[in-house]
Amino acid sequence: MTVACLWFSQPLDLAKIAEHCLRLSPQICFSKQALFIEIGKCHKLYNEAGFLARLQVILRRLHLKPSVGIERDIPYSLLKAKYRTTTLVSLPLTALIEMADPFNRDEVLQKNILKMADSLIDVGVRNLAQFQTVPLKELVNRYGPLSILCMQRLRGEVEIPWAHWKPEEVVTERTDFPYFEFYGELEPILFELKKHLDLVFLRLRARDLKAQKMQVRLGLEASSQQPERERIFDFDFVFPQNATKSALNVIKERLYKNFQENPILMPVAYLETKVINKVKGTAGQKNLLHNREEVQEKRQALIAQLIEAHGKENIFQAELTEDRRPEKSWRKIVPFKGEKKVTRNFEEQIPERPTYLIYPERIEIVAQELIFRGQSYPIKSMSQFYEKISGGWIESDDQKNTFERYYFTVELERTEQTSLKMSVFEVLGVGFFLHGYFG
Amino acid sequence: MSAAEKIRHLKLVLGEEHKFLQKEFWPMPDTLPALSPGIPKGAIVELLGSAKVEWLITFLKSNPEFKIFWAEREQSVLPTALYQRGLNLENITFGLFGEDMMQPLRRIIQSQSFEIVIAPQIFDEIKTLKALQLFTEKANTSLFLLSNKTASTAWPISLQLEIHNSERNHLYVDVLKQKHSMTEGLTLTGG
Repeated sequence: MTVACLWFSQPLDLAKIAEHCLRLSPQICFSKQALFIEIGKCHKLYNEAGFLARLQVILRRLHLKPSVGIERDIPYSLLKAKYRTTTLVSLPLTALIEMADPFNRDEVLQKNILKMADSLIDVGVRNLAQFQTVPLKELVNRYGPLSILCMQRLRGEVEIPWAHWKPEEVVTERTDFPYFEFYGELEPILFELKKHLDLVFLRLRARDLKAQKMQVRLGLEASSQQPERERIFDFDFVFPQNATKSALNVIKERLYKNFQENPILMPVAYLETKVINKVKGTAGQKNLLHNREEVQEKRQALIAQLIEAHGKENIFQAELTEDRRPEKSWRKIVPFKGEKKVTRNFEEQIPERPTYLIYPERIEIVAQELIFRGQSYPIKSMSQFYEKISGGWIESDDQKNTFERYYFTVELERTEQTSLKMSVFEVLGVGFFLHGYFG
Repeated sequence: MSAAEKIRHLKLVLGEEHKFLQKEFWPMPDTLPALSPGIPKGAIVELLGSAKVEWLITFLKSNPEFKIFWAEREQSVLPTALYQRGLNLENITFGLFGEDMMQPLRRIIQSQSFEIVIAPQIFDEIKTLKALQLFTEKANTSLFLLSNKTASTAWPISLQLEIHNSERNHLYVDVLKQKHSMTEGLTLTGG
């Protein structure tokens, strides 16, 4: 076996790089920072120098500069790539981590090896060559099976099973328009897009999958009028999509907005639709007794469309919080996403809140009159203060952030028979504020 | 004879009473003034007065299965207050649409995903209200328009109620308009 290892100084999405390397060998696996390619079985296609030359071309195209090590097995190739040597005298004891866990999967194992390395350093063992000279019997007595594993890997006695990796299936559709069929009109693009989505969702459904992220690319003919060659639209759906209609509505919303803001002046060269992220679907036959799932899907499709058009912050459900301040007593959550809700027994804990809340606005209360924006209103009745809300000191160190409010209800006379109930609070030494009203 | 009574009489003479029965209604809870036969499904209801939201909450509370969409121009209704008064927040979806309310409302009603849609009354044009009336009728959704102004004279509105709090904390309801029944012009109290 001959293994080439590519070591990257930063963790990367190595699946994409691995896909590029598939032309060199079908046997590939990777960890967070290391990519392993088995090249021994391809010796009839290329030798080591040939492999390195081909690899350089790929890496140059991807703008990557990893260090490469070629050795007889996975651990040694990793050591060669990471430390640029396999001479045991030059390798520190911590290199045992790469030896024992080259795929960087077992954190507990790594921690234990570090502990072992620390205690070995204390007794004067500083590198792998010295570690190899320690009798295995003594190591086992002190460090147990961990030391056997390290020693076996160091001696190359145990072969590491090759981790299975298969490139992820990409669901994509592409249509080319070589005859300048249409320019910047949205309708024909949507027409083509619908065909793409039909095919994409057929494939996904057959695999019991749903689309979570999707990308639509519009290729444009280059010209001096419009230098951009491509428009890319990325969609991260609020709810995983499994039907053309709902997905198309969301995509249409974005395209419509984009075409309005930035019209396309040149012919469209191609249209590409790609599913970037898939999630598990809900397999099963249609429920014959009720249509709850369909109604829920329909509702989710509408919410997704509204969120696309009006933004996540404008379409929401409410969830209660532990905060006692009326304005912070709830928070926005994505509708019908099944998030965990906080349930509280408000009836016993908190006085009745006003149905409408406004940003606190300064008012004056003088002798049975409430003065608001320069106008005075006769007060029919005013409650004793019923709630004190204070706090804020925990949220920041700033003294200004603290608050102390004394809440009242004030009933204003409208006609002889009707009245309007307001929620008012007083900040001692500052004055009265209107915070909401009932009804 | 008052104008309301005259209209009622004329409706009876024209034999329109049987048409009322064709319409479906949400029943009124006992805790609210008895409005016969109830709130029409697939129709526009305009609510006015200082206790309109309290009345609406009591009505919604009595039908816990409702899926509700609450559209506003900007956030003003307090969800905590709705929860305190007995509404299940999981059934309410809020939408803030600014001034451009018509298009999202059309989508929401046409989707038939919500039994009840609540929106502010910002529609003056008959054309717009007519469109909304057609959508609600087709989707069998009840659209509640919360008005802070005077009652609209637009014909597509089926039911107009002015609701206030009375002295004893009871609600009293003025039925300003009721297309599908005969209680128009009456004042109902109770709750």
